Amino acid sequence: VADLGFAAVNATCPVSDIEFLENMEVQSKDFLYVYRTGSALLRRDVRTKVEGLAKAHGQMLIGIPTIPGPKGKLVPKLYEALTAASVFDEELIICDLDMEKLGSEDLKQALLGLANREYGRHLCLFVPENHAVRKTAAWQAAVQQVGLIEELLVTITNYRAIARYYFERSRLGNLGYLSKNERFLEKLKKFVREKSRTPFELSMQIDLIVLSDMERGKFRKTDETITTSKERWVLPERLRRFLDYRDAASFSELMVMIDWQRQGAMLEPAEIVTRIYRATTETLEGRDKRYRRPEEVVHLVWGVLLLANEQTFLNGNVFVAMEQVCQEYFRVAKDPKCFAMMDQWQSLACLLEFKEVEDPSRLDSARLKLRRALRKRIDALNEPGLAWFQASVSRIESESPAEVKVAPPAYLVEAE
Amino acid sequence: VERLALKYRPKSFDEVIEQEHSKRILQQLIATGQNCANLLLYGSIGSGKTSLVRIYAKALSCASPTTQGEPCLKCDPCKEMEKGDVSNYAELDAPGFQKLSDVKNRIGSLLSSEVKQGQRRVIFVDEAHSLANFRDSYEFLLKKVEEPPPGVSFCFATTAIERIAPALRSRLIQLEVRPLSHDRSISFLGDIASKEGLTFEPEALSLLVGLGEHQPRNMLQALDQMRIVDLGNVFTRDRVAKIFSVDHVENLVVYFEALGSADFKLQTESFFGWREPVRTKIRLIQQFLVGVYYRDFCGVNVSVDPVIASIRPKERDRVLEAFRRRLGDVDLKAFWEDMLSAWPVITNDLSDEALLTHVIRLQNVANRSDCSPRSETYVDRVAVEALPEGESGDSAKKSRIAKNSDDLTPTDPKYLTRSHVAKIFASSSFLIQEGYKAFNAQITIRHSLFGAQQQPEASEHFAEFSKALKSRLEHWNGSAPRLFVQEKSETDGSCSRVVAFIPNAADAARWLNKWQRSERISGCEEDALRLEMLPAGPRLEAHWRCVRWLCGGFNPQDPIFGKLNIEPEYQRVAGDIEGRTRVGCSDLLAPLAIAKAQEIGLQLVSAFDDQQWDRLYDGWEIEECASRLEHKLILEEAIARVEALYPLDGSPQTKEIRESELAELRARFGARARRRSWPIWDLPQ
Repeated sequence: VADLGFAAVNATCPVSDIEFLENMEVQSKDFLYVYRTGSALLRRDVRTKVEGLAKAHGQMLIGIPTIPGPKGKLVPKLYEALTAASVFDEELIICDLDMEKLGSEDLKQALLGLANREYGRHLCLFVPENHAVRKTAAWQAAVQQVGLIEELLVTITNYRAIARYYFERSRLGNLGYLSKNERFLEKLKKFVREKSRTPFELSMQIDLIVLSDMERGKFRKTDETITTSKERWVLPERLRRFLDYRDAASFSELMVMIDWQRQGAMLEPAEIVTRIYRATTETLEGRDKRYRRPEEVVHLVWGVLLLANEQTFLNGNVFVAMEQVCQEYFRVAKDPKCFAMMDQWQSLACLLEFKEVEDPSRLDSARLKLRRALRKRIDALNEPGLAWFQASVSRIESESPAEVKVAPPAYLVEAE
Repeated sequence: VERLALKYRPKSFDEVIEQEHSKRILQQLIATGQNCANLLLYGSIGSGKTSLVRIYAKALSCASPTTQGEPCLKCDPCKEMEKGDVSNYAELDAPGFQKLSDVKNRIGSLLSSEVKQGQRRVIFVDEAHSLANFRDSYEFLLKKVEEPPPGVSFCFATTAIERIAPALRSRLIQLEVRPLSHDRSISFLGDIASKEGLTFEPEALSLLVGLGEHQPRNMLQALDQMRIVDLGNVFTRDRVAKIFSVDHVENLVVYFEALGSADFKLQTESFFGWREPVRTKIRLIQQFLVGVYYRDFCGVNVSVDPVIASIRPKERDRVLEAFRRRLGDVDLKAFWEDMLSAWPVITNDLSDEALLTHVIRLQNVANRSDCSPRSETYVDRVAVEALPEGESGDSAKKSRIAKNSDDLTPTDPKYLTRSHVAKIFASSSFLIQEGYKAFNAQITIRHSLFGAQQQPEASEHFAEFSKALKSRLEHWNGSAPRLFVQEKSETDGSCSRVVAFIPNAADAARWLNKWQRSERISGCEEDALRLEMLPAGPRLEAHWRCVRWLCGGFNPQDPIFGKLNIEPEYQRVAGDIEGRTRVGCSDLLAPLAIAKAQEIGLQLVSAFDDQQWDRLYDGWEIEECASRLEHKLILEEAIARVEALYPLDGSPQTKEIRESELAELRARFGARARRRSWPIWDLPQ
């Protein structure tokens, strides 16, 4: 239990769905289950278990009756269903709010009745985490009375426990042997460390690693992997040479590489821009330890030129666009008077603005990281003359809104 | 006649070309227990998405898939699917649905019908993005995909992944199906063409690949069209272009020839006579400009665009010749840079009116008779020798600065810079190593004494003189290698200096004496054009004296000035020539010629680049020339042997082996590796 982030299990403290499914002795006959948006990995299992418990308790499963609504249309009425007298044995209603469209008043009324233990019938309610009812007092009251089963958000503290549970029931069969594979778990850790994930995202990641990187339970050692990483290495290297030397040799090497990416490897312009953005971000962040010198200020210019010319890469010929951006970079590097011009810094400020992108693409993510790296470098410039600029960009959130999709509930934060 | 796309549709993962990542995922799904997964395949039309799904579906129901995750193709389920049995495989064409209820009914009925014992069912929705037209369609599919019945796999294919709802996407394993690489496309199409008895020129095949956008089906459809018109002849690029009405090359060449001759009327006629949308034409013109620049002036082999890559060297030569005929000795590379700078990157969002304005601007630049003043902030795009792949970090920087960068050297417009001098030394040393005759003549032309007072007039005048001199030298020697410097002094005004080889001093003096005699200012006829012949002397003494004389305007503040030992009587202020071309050379000594001479694998040596100051003038080039000639013969013979041993048969393996053997061979003949019988310095790697 501690592994999953809970101190104890009781009626007022939520229970994880894994805990509920694995070994929990259940006394309650009413259930409230909250699952994550875009996940619901164990929803079917939870339902199966509840149905099994009902059978064990001699309960009958019944549906929600519909009654004519104001315009004569038949609408389901949960409250009516719960308050109706039980004809035979005990009865259980299972209702998933993602499937059943209930009226909000009906729902509130039903939850208040549940909180007050008014019914002869029992209820198992499946609720998506973003459902409006969770903000109501009726919900809080029902949770206080019945308790809560919840699908956890995967964090650095509980990813192993959740992964272990999934391994044995994965879509690819029993992957239990991965529980002891530290290299595999390390990959998952890295995945979770980037940001909190839903259990479904974790399960997909597990599947993808198994399918693409492993063979017969072991990590593959293939030429392709080596080639890919080598290719990834070459662009940052060539770009860095050009940014530093700004001479004919490094320039032509870079251009030959860009030409090959487009005309030889047939990469789309967006993919090429993504790779150039990433390589530039690496340079700005000084990740390559082979370069002992600190990165040059003029690298900032390169990053900005790329951002400013993104559309010419995407809508024009990549090679021609690259050639012109490189020329511009060279001109600025030779004559860096632009650093002293306020209008240049003003145009820079709007390029560095973080814009919210729903469902970011690879290019969006790469652009965001480049902007973040640029801002960090500008902050580190420590130029008194740029205080106004730094103030103007610092008003914008430094974290991407797109990456903070769901905030974990308070009790989880405390537990972590 | 069976369509090639059907005839050659892959039946197993092994037959699918490239797409390694997608194939691995699908094969692993099969190899780990014929797992049903929900997939989203995305890529362009004709890339092979449907083929991959069909193979996956076959392998899912196969009675005995291989350990590599391939369908056996022998069992009953495999054979049934091959025959078109759809009981376990339903292919739904999304654009064919009229309303959402049709989608729901069709999928509902598929899910409710029983799957045969031990088999699995694939529901494949092709062009899935079309479902975005129905409200709630993705929500419906999401629910089905979230908890599909056991033994059912949903596969979606799309050419527009961004139109698939993110929630649905997140539930699917996404596999990108990419176009084939250029080399692989060529070998793929070449193999099938030869199986079908069609013969293509390499450029024709390359054009066909470009027309098919590197997508297997599209390429085969293009090949289908060629089969129809096959008369048993070799398909040339021009024939393919004609069949597909994409004859851009001839139009481009004609337009550029018109630019070269500065004929505005012809330019306008050829531009508007070219029946393509303005944007297409202008994009091609820009790409051609860039392509010619990189290939012909910088010696950098790039494609830029498939159409540009298919242009033959002789067609590019037609264009360059047109410019040369008009511009004479004007630095064509710099001239080309002016044309390049006339345009921004041509993008889709520019209107036709804006595009036509750009055309006018380009033509204005192209119709000038000289290049504009050079800015010191231009990056030199010429490919000097590449850094070894592994070299990185600060150490590389050090050697490069020492070699050819002006970064740490003074740049005073009144003097020649280090890179000017480096260019002169590179060309002069190359001249001897390549076996041309050494310089022995210094020619000075004072343009002001011909009435050309301003620098632009002086430059034009020099172009005229250079053209005439070239023709004369060719008449005397058969070739005309020469170097020149343009200068300006307060007393003499604009003047130019040329060094060349002159076989007969008397003939040369006579000719020079006559050239534009009537244009010279009266009383200064002799001073207007002077010839100084140097006695040969031991080894290359005259040659290097000519070079030092030419470099007399080098900046004395430069740290290496003293190393060059320029005679005091040659030292001078070169004067500010307002950004005109300072140093130039004939084509035979240009960077492209230098690059071409090294193409075979015999690298040149440079005492200047290697900072061997005491070896600059000792004439080692004479022995180096003999050695190069000797090794060239041996190397050519060895290359021919390797090429005969590994003839190109279209397979990438053979090509790879051949290239690796050739690379190894060339490495053995590199400047450093070659054995010499005379002392040479420790050559850099």
